[in-house]
Amino acid sequence: MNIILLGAGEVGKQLAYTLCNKDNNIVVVDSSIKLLNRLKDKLDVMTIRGDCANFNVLVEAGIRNADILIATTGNDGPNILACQVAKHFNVKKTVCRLTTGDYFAGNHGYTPAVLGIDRLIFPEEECVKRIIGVLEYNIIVEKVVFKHSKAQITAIRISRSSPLSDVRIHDFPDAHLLSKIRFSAIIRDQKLIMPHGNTIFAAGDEVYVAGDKDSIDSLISFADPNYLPVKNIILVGATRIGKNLAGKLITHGYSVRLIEESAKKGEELLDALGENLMVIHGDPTDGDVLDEAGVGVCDAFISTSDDDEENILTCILAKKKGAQKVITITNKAEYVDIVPGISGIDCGFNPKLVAVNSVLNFLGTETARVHAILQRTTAYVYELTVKSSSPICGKKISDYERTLPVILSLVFRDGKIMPVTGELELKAEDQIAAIATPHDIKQLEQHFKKKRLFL
Amino acid sequence: MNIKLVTRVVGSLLIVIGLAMLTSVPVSWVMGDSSTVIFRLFTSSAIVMVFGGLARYFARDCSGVFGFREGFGIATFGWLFAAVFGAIPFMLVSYFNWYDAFFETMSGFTTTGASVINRSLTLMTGEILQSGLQDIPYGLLYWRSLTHWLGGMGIVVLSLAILPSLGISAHQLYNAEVPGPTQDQITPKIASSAKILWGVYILFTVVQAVLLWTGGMSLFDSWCTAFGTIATGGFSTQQASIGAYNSIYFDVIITVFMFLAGANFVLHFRFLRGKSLIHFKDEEFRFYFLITIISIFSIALFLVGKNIITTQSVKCIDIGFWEALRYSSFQVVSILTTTGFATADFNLWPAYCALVLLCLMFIGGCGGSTAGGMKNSRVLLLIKYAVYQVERRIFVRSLPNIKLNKCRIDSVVLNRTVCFFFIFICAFIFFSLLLCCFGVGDIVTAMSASIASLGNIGPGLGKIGPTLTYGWMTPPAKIILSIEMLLGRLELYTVLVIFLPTFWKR
Repeated sequence: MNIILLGAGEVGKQLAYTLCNKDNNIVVVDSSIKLLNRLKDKLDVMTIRGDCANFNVLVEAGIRNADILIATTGNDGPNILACQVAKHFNVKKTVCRLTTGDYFAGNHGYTPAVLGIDRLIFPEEECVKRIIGVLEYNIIVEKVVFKHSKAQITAIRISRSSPLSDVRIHDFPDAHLLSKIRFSAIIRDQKLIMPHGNTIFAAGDEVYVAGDKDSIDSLISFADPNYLPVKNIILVGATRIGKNLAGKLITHGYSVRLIEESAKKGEELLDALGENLMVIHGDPTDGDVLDEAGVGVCDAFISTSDDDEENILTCILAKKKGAQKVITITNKAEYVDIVPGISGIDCGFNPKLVAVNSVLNFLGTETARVHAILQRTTAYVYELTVKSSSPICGKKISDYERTLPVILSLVFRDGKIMPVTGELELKAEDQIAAIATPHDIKQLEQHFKKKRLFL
Repeated sequence: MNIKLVTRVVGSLLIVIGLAMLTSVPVSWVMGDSSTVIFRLFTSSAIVMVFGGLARYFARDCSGVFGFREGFGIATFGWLFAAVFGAIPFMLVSYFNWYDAFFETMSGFTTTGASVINRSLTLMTGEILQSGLQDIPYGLLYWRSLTHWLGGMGIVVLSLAILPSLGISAHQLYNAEVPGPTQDQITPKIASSAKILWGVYILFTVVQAVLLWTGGMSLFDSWCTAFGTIATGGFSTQQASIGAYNSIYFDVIITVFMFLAGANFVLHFRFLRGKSLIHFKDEEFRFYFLITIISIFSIALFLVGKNIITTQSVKCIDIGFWEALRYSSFQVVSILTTTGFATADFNLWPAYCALVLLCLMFIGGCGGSTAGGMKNSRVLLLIKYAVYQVERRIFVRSLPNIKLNKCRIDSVVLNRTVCFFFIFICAFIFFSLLLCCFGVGDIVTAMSASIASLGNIGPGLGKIGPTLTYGWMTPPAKIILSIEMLLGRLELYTVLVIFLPTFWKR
């Protein structure tokens, strides 16, 4: 496929790395030669320097023959404009990254499609949703939700005092609950391992468990009996994501305080959100400022400034000062791997990775698509669809279990979650969610693709 | 450097070269060489392929990342081993000494066109090659010209085009081999760009060969000459080079195609795609064109009324303007594009003419062409940079605003270009000195041999003039020149990084 990527920043870079293979011809457009060279040195892509919304630049990038255009620059206007140019040339798929969906009004017929956009992605909003997902309970470190019937895959961290620690999966006390949930993956010492019946949970494990919301909630209350609900939250930085998060948290009824270094930005935020928000003007790496915000008694501390290093250090400082759950935002891809290894930080989120996530989800094939990129390890949650021509169709899971490189976490049939046992027979149009590394998915996908005769 | 990875890719390269060598077997058979020659050509090709296969076998479990080091390693060692193994037929078929065979092959692959073959070359057997090129079997002559053709567009680029993906960092390989300060990319994938460039290259070769053949050259000669022209090589099947045919038609055809081969092939591709005036919109091409025209006319005017001796030893007395133009244009284009064909012995021309030709040797062709030298775009950049530096005496705070084709050139590229010029001149002087140490007796010969090898031209002045060869040089001098050719072809940096200690260890 011929793919044009607009913007060679973090999102563009990660997309280029993911999409660059022998089947894809990729052209990257950006105005910064430095960012372009960074890509060109490593990948077999063509780079064009120029304004992303410029008609001539897009023509030079080969928009006449492009199949997909992905506009991922940080500016909404040029992104939309580029998608319009793309539709003018009948590009099959256009993806547009925006900060807000307020440009459109569906009830007036003014939809993204009118402007030539096939898929909108809102990395900041999506990232905020994920952060709110982990605030619900203290031990949740990551949560991936599905459209169907409140299904979710949730990662919980097992503490030393948790009743779940040192428990063998087979010996789990509540057999009824065990039948409704599925332990899909464990991250132990930053390595992804696939659990089986004899696996014993250890303190410090992060366990990915799949099931419907109620069952997972009961598991969580079993794993963490001393749970206190999150109420007081401290945010750092009135950035795009900080503002968005503050607004959402206030509507969810949390008590929010935000630390911002620039008085002007803080006042702007107060103008926009006003009620129930306290903005503290000061340097977040200053201990006194943190104390004034009440870091010692807060339930969650979220650092959302634009500076990755500052976020990480502020979080470590907050943890030391007694914050319960500490969450950081990072933007550089390199930091995704190291944040889970920092003991002072409970969760890390990367909005750029979320953007890549949304694009990959849109570009997936008929049988396999990325549902979510996990933020704790290099693995994806894939959504696989069983077709009547798939080799796995009509087979019991136990027949395949040994040959599959991963555990099938959830099976959806007619919008309902099916209990995943070895006896379950897979039918056409079943949808399956599984956690897998990009390497494993190729192997897994073979069981879902139609068998080709001549290859 | 990841030695296994490099070994594996170099092994693949050798297999490609072995396959190319195999095509000399049917040619040799059709042209009626003796069965011994055919068998020995076949054996040489088998040896090369076996070594390539062994290299691939021993490095079959290579892994690890493909970085800058590996790209440079593959280019340098790929070319070095191509020349080492490409020399086998010369030793097996015509009993060349190893240094002569290596020199001839390196000169072939780097499209230098400097030859050792003359009527007094001593062979491995102690005999003397009695009648020069006429003693060489057709199969070997074909291989000699084919080395030009393979090296012209680049053996690494060739392998990028025909081998399945060598790794994701094709850019590094491409940049290590394709000449010029900056590279244009035609398509998103390097492999498809390489295919397109080779397509244009093949098209030009076929057109020229057909034109020469219809003009009355023998089929064999027309193909070999086309190989030598489009690759800007310079090996001819005649001892007297192109002068042997003494035909205005051939002179004109070869001049035109040499000129085209010295220009950027990306421009040719765009031209073939229907952009009619694309060449003259390119600043480098305009500069190249201008230099060519000025040199041709200034030399032609100087030659009017003088006596000329062609390479065939025919004396033309008191030549007129048109005849002067004929000889001057052929020689100028041949030297500027670093081809090295000759129709007249410019060694005997007035000092001005010879010196202009010597200067042209430094300039060379355009970036993205098959020619050598410093490249017109670099010279153009240096001129602009020099003007800027003078201007800066007054406007002390001005930033460099140097543009090529309306695109501002980054100061990183500028610095690299200035440094390239420095290294080029240093290499030229250093190798001239070395040659004097190893048996080259006079300054003109030493200096012109040095630049003729560094610029991949071939013939020089003095004792290596267009009617003479490098055959008389001492073995160390031949090895030194071979290394210099490689240095020039891969544009210095690619080879020089090999000598950094940090290149070998992480």
